[in-house]
Amino acid sequence: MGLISEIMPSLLNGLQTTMLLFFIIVVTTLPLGFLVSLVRVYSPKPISWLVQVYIYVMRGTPLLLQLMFVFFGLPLVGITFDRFTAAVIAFILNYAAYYAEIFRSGILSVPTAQFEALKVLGIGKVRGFRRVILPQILRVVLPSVGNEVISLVKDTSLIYILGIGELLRAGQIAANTYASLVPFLAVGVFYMIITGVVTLILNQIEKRFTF
Amino acid sequence: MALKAEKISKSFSGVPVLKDFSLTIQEGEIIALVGKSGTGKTTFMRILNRLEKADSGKLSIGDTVLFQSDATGAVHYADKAEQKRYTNKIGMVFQNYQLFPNMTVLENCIEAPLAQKLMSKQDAEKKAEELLGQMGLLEKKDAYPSTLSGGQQQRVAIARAMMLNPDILCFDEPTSALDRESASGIGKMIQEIAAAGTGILLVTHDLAFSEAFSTRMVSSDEFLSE
Repeated sequence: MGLISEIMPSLLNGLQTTMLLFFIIVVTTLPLGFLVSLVRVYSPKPISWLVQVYIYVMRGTPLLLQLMFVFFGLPLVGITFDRFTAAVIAFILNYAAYYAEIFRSGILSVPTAQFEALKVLGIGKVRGFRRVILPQILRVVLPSVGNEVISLVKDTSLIYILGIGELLRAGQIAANTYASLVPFLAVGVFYMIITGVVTLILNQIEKRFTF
Repeated sequence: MALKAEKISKSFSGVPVLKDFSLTIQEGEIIALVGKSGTGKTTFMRILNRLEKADSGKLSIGDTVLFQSDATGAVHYADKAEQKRYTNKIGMVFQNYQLFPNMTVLENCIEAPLAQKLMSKQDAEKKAEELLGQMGLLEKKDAYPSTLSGGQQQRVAIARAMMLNPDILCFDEPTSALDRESASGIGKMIQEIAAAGTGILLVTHDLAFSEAFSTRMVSSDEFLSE
C-alpha cells in the first residue's frame, strides 16, 4: 500500500496528460472525420481522390511512424513543433482518417430514396439531413466509432516515444525506480477504468439511437 | 386541380423511355399506368415528382407550371418558389414507403408541414391523428416504423403524403408487397381518397388491381408512340 501511495502522484500526473490528449483528439477528430467523409462522398472526383490518398496513407502506415515523422522528421525540413503539439497533429491526422471511413459507411447505408422522400415532402436539405439522415448515420456508425474511441484511449500510450510523460511512461519510470511490477498493474487498472467509463458512456449514447 | 403532362420526353444516355407522352389526371380520377418493368412508368412518375428532369414537354397542376419547353425545345423549370408551390400539390407514396425510421408514426406525419411552416405543431398533430384514425392506425401513433407491418407502413406513408393536401397523389407499385386482401384494402382506401377530390396515379404491373380499382388504364406502350 505504501508503494501505491508513493507512486500515485506521478501516475496521476501521467494520467492527466493521457486524458488531455484523449479529449483533444476525440473532440476534434469526430467532427473533422465527419467533414472528411462528406468531402469524400460528395465532392468532385479529383478532390474525392485526394481525400482517398490521404486516408490510404494514414491507414496504411503505423501511427507510431506518423508520430515520429511529425516530431523527429519534419524538423529536418525546418518545421518544428513541441512534443505535445506534434502528438496532437499526428493523432488528429490519423484518427480523422479512420473516422472518415466509418462515417462514409454510415452515409452510404442510408437509402437514396430517403433523400428523395425528403425532397418530395418539401423538407429542406439542411433540416432533412439533421433530423432524418444524420440520426440514421449515427445509428449505423456508433458501434464502430465506439471501437475507435476505445482504441484511442490505449493508443495515447504511443506518445511515450516522444518522451512525453503520459500514464504509461509514468508507470515505466516508477517500475524502474522501485524495481516493482505494481506500477504496471496500476497503469493497467487506470486504462481499464478509463475504457470502462468510455464504454458506459458509449452504451448510453447508443441506446438513444435505437429505433 | 387537374394535372396536365403535355408531350413529355425523356431519354437515358440516348435511349428514349418517354417520347411526346401526354396525360391528364382530373380531380377524383384514378389512373393506372400499366406495363412491363423498364418501360418508363416509374420514370414518368419520378418526373412528376421532381425526382427526374424531363428533356422536353410541359407539366402543370392547375395554374402552377413546373416546366415547359420553349420554341427550340429546350426545357425550362420554374423558379424555386413556384417549384415549391408545385411540390405541395403533388404527393408520392414510395414502393418501400420510405418512412423515416428514426421518427414515430406521428412524427413522420407532421415533419413536412412543420418543416414548411404550414401549420402549428398542435394543428399538425390534430390533423395527423385524424388521418391516422381514418386509416385505423391511431393506436400506433407513437410506434416506430420498424415495428409496423408492410401494410401499416404503407398507410402511414399515405397519411404522411395526405398531410400536405395534395391535388395529385402517386403510388409506385402499391401492391408489390401486399397479399390480395391487404391490396384490396389499399384499393378501397385509394378510392376513398379519390372520392374526396384527389387525382390518383398508380404505377403498377398488377393488372387485376388496376382493373378493380382504377377509373382509367394507360399502357406504357403509349410512352414511345409516334
